[in-house]
Parts: sequence; C-alpha cells; structure tokens
Amino acid sequence: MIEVSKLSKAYGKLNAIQDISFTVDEGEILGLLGPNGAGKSTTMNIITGYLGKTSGKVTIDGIEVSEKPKEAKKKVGYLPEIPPLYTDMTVEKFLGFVFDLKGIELPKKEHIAEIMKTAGISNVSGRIIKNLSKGYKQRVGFAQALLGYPPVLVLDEPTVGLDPNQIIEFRKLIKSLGKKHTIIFSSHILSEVSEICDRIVVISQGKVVTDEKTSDLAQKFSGAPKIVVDIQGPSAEVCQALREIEGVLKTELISEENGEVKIRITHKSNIDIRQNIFTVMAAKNYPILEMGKVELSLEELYLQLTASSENSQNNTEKTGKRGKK
Amino acid sequence: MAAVLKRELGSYFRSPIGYTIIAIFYFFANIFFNMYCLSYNSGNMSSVFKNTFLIVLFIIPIITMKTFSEDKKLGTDKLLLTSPVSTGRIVFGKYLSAMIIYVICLLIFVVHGLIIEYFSTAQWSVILCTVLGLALMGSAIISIGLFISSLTESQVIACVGTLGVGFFLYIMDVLANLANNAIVSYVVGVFTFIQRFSNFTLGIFNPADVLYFLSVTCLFLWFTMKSFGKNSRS
Repeated sequence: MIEVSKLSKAYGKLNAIQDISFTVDEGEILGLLGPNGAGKSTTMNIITGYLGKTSGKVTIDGIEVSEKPKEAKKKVGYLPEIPPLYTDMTVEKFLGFVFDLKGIELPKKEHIAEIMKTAGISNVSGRIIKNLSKGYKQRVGFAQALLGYPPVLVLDEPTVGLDPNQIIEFRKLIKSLGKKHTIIFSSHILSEVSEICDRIVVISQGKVVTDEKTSDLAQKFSGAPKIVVDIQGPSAEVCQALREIEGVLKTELISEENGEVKIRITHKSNIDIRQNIFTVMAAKNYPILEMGKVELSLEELYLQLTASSENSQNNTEKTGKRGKK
Repeated sequence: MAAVLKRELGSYFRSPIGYTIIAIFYFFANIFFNMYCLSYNSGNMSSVFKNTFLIVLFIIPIITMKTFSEDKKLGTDKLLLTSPVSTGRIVFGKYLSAMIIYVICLLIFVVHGLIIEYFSTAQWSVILCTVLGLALMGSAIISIGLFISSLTESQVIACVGTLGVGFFLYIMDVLANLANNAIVSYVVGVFTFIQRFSNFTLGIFNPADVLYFLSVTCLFLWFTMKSFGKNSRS
C-alpha cells in the first residue's frame, strides 16, 4: 500500500534522512521508532506530501506522491506532531471545514457525528477549540485525520497529551482501525509500539536501522536464546549439573541468596532444554522455584540499535578525519 | 477553494478583527465625507477619495497580515498542504476572502453617492469609476500583502512589511521627481500606482490601468503560490 524507496531529504549539507526504504502492506500497522531528531517526522511529512524530497520515491497505492499529489493526498489522513487546528473555530465547524476541504462524498452531518463519536469528542462538539484541554485537542486532531475514512492513516506521536485511560482507549481504537486501514504510527512509548504494531521500523540519525516484524524483533537481536532459572541448591553443583545438559553453551550466576541460586543459561537455538533441566534437577533433588525465557526487552533493543548506529556514525567520522590526513 | 474561502471569511468575523477593520474604514470615510461634502454642501467627492486612499494603505496590511502567517504559526499549513486541494486554489480562496472584506469597506462610497443623490445629482460615473479604481488597486496591494504574509510566521512583520510597500508605492512618484532622471521617471511612470489610480478618480476608465492592476494581482498571487508551496516541491 505504501512504498518508500531510497528516500532522502537534505537541507544544504545536512542530511535529515538518507536512503530510507520500507513498505507497508494493506491493513498493516507499522511502528516508526527512533530518538528525537532521528527523521521520523521528516519521513512522515514527505509521505503525506507536506515536504518535498531530495531523492527517492514514495508511492501510496501505486500513486507517486510527487507526481500526482492530489490523488495521493486523497488517500491519506494525517495527524502531525502538533495537531493542525484552527483554534478560533468550534469542533464541529472545524471538522465541517476539513470535510469540505477533503472533498468527502458522504452525508456530511451524519459522518461528522460518527467520527466525533469514534474519537470521543461528541460532548465538546460546540466548544471553541482554543478552550479545549490538550487531550481533547489531540482527539480533534485525530478526528480530522479520520474524516472520510482514508485508506492510509499517518499518525505522528498520537498519544502525546492523553491521560492513561485515553491512551488505552486510543490503542484499542487503532487496533480496530488497523483491520480496515493501513497505519503508520510513530511513538517514543516502546511498549505501545510493540503492543499495537505488526511491524517496527527503527530510524536513527536519518537512516533505517532495522525493519522487522514485532514478534521477530527481540528474537533477532537477543543473540542465542537464554533461560533464567531459580533453583534451591548449592551454586557450584547446580551450575555444574546444568553445564552437562546437552545444548547448554554457558551458565552465568546472577545471584545467590538463602540457598537459592539464580542462573542465566545460554543454549543452542534449535534445542528446548527446559524438560532436561527439570529431569536433571529432579534427579539431584534441587527444586526449581522459577524458570522462564529471557527476551530482550524493547527498551534494551532500542538502546542497542540506536547506540550501534551512533557508533558507526562516529567511526565513519573518525575514518573520514584520518582519510583527510 | 470554497471551503477555504468560507473558513477565511468566517474567521474575520469570529474575532473582532473583521468588524474593527470595517468600522474604522467607515468611520474615517464618513468623517472625510462630512468634512468635504456635507459641510460644504458639495457633491464633489474627490477630496474624500484622496484622503481615503491613505486609510486604504493602512487597512489592507491589517486585512492581509494573518492570511498565511497564522497558518504557519498554528501548523494548519500542514492541513492545507496535505489536503487534495491545489496550492493555487488555497491562495485564491484566501485572496477572495480578503477582497470581500475590502469591497465591503468600499461600499460606503456607494452610500455616500446615494446621500448626495438624495439632495442633488451625484456624479455616478466618477464615484463608480473611483470605487472600481480603489478595488483594482486594492486588489494589487492585497496580493502583495498575501505574498509578504506567506514569507513569515509573524503577523506583525507581515503587517509592517505590507505597510512599507504601500507607503513606498505612495511616495514613489515624489521620489522619482526628486531623482530628476529620465529613465527613473519612465520606469516609475510605468509602475506607478498613484498616477493610474488618479485616472480613475477623474472618471477615466483606461483599460491599460485595469490591465496593469490585474497583472500585478496575478503576479503576486503566483509568487504567493510558489512561496506557500515551496517546501512541498521535490
């Protein structure tokens, strides 16, 4: 549905984004993650036609944005980082204006009422936008993006300013919309992205660092699989017994307290050693108090990815300096 | 375009600005009408028009200052530029809304004509020709004001910039005389706003003057389109 191909945007000598490529299939929810200044908003601004690109290509449903902007823009609803609201208008009048602007061919009054209900702003429809709280303003911004039910929704940090209840409702709403819409959604809240999105693209320093399915992401980057066990018994004997199990590569003692040892076991990826651990420990009469898989948390993953991109950037700069000499 | 026009026109009247602009214009136009016509029992409105010209130079920057600057500041330029409406239509919608406010201001002169007509005979050809001249010249300055507004986020800078241009146009002829240079005089003679407007006040309908003001309008609307849409171009 959305195809971004070698997209670059430069401001003079500064490359805001470089060779960004990813695709979003119909009905997919893509999460755009990255530190501040990474280039997420720039990418979204180019996809929606607000900013021009320096090079590359963006197509929405096969239509190239720079060649046929009108047709492409008809398919997109955009909520920028700061919701674009005319603060002197009432909510209903503003949505009426956006309805006319987008040339939506639906019964106006009913459609706006429906959208307001979906966004949870029916109770403030007559209020002037200037007088709304941040959370409500954000919701009005979301409502204007949703008007006409465009096939593609691009949302830049849509949950900023919402209270915890509103955030939960919003996530449910995105998930339900995701079935009928293609959504790109950027956030700093990693748990939110992993909960809602089918795929995650991490952007750092203007470049794509990773593009994976959410479920595959942690697995790909955590290296060899690990299990943490909490066993009652002497540490030395327990570790020794564990190391003898087939497939175990390494054992690390995490803690030892009151006869309980916590150990991290790294094992080969094609073997499930949990049954063997049980059998061996039971034979030696060392009760297993707790056993669980370790998955690299998204925070650790994010830090790892963005740190590695910064390191490679620094190395390139150093090499460049040496090169000049 | 109709959506933009409706919204812009509405916004002039959702705040005091629209009412204030029209009220101030009517106030001064009426004072001049009283001073130069009613108190002398004269139907000659030339002095009224001459003085009102200066008010126009003040009023137009106030009409145009928020047209694009406000969108840049609020972030609604993103809404406009990501909608399936061309930049040209957006600019034209804003231009029309400013012109409508301006023309509402100019209608007071028709009222003056009707008052004169009640007591004697109004020189309708002069009055209507002058109103047309004011409308055309105003259209050109409005398009310049729109362009300047599209260059900045600050309404104040937009206002002051347009005021500056307006005054330059006002004194351009005087400066040209001081320069005492044939080339300068010729160039100023072509681009003059004052001289061309003066023709209208004498009841002279010169198609060249009409074409000139319309051309300036089109040129600056085109500049505004380019300026407003500059970031969207690859």
